[in-house]
Amino acid sequence: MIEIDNVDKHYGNLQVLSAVSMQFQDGEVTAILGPSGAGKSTLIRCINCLELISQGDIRVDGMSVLDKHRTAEIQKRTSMVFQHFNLYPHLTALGNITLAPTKVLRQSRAQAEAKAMELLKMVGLENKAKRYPAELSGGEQQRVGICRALAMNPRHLLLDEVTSAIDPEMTAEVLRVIEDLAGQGTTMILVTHEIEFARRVADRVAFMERGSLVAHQDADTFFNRQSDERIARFIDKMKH
Amino acid sequence: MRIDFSPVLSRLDYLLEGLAVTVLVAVAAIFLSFALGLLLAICRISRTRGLRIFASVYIDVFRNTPFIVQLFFLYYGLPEIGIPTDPMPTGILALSLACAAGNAEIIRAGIETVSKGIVDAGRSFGMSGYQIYRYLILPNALRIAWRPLGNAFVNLVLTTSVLSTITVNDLAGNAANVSAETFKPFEVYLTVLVTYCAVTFTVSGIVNSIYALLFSRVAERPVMRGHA
Repeated sequence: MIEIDNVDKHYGNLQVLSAVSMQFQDGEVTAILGPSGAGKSTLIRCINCLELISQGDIRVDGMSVLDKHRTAEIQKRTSMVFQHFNLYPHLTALGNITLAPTKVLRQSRAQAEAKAMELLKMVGLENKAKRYPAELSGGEQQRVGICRALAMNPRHLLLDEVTSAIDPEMTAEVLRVIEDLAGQGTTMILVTHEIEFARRVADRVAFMERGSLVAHQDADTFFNRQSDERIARFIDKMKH
Repeated sequence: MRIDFSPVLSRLDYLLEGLAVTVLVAVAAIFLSFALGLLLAICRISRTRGLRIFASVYIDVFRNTPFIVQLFFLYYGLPEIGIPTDPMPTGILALSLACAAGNAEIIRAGIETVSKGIVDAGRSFGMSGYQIYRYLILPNALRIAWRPLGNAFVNLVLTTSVLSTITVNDLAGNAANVSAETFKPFEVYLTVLVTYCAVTFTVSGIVNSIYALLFSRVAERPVMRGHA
C-alpha cells in the first residue's frame, strides 16, 4: 500500500503539490488525470524518491520516503516507466532490462537474461533483444521500458505519461501491454492523458489540478456519475 | 648541395632508439593523462566544494601556462627543494599532468551531455551513485568524448618532442644529434617529420578502431531526453 499524507512540494516559490493525501491499495490500478502542470508526474516521482517532498509524508508498504536508509528498498519496490523512455542508449534492449536486476538485486546474468527474454516475449519483442534503443521505434522503446521496470519485480508500477512521446499509431501496442498487466492484477499508478484508456483499465481515478487532489473516486463514479461540473467538462474535452 | 639520405640511413639504429623512447613516453603519458583527466573531471563536477575548487584551479593553472615552462619547473625546480629528478620519469610526469587538464575538460563536457533521464532511470531502480557513474554516465560520456580525446592524444604525441629539451633521448632529441653530426638537417628532419606522421596516424587509427569496436552501433544522435 502507498499512503500519501498531506504532501507539499515546492521548487523555490513555485508550489507544485499542496496538501495531497490519498492511498493506493495493492492490486488496484489508479489513473491520475488532470491538466498539464497539475503535479501528477511530480507526485509519482516523489513516491519513487526521485524528488524530495517538502512537507508531509509518503509511506510505501509502511516505509517512509523521509527515511534515507529506506530509499533503496522503496525504489526496489516501485518501478518507474518514463514518458521519454529514458533507455540507456549504450546498452541493447536486453542490457537495458538486465542492468538493475544484476547490479541492484544481484541476480546472476543467466537468471536476469532468462527473465528479460520472458518479458520481451510478453510484449512481442523477443526478436529485438539485441537491438540498441536507437534501432527501435518509440513504441518498441517504451515496451522495453516497461520490461525494464517489470524485471525488478516491483510491487508497484509507476507509469509517467508513457504514451505521450510516441507517435499515435504506436501507442496502441504500448497500451495493450499495460492493459494485459492490469488484467493480471499488477498494482499500477498511471499518469495519463489517454482518457479512454483510463476508463478501460483503471479501478480508481485521481483527478488533480494546480497541485491539489480534486477527486479520488472509483472509475465508474468518476466517468459515469460525475457530480463535479469542472471535472465533467475536463472529461468531455479530453474525449475529443 | 645534393640531397643524400645515406648519412640518415647509417644512423638509422640510433633514430629508431629515439622512436622507441618517443613511443614509450607517449603511451605511458596517454594512459596516465587519461586516468588523471577522468579523476579531475569527476572532481570538477563533484558535489563536494573542495574537490570542485581543487580541480578548477588545477585545470586553469595547467591550461594557462606554457608546457615547456612547466617542464623546466619540474625538472630543474624540484631538485632545489630536495626532490631528485630524472629526465624520462619527469618528462612523462610533466606531460601527463599537463595533458590531464585538457582531457579533464573534454571528459567533463562529455559527462554534461549525458541526459538527466538515464540518471533518473538508474536512480529509480535503486542503483547507487557509483553504479550510475560506472554503468550509465561514463560509458555514454566517453563515447561522446572519445574523438576529441583522440585529438588530444595526437597532440600529446607531438608534444613529447619538447622533452628533448631536458635531455630525453627521444626521436626529436636524437634527430638533433644526428643532424649536428652529419650536417644534413634537411634529410634528417624530413625523415623525422614523416616518422612523427606515421606515429600519429597509428594513434588515430587505434583510437578509431576502439570507437568502432565499442560505440559504432550506438547512435550518434541522442535518443533520450530528460523528463518533461
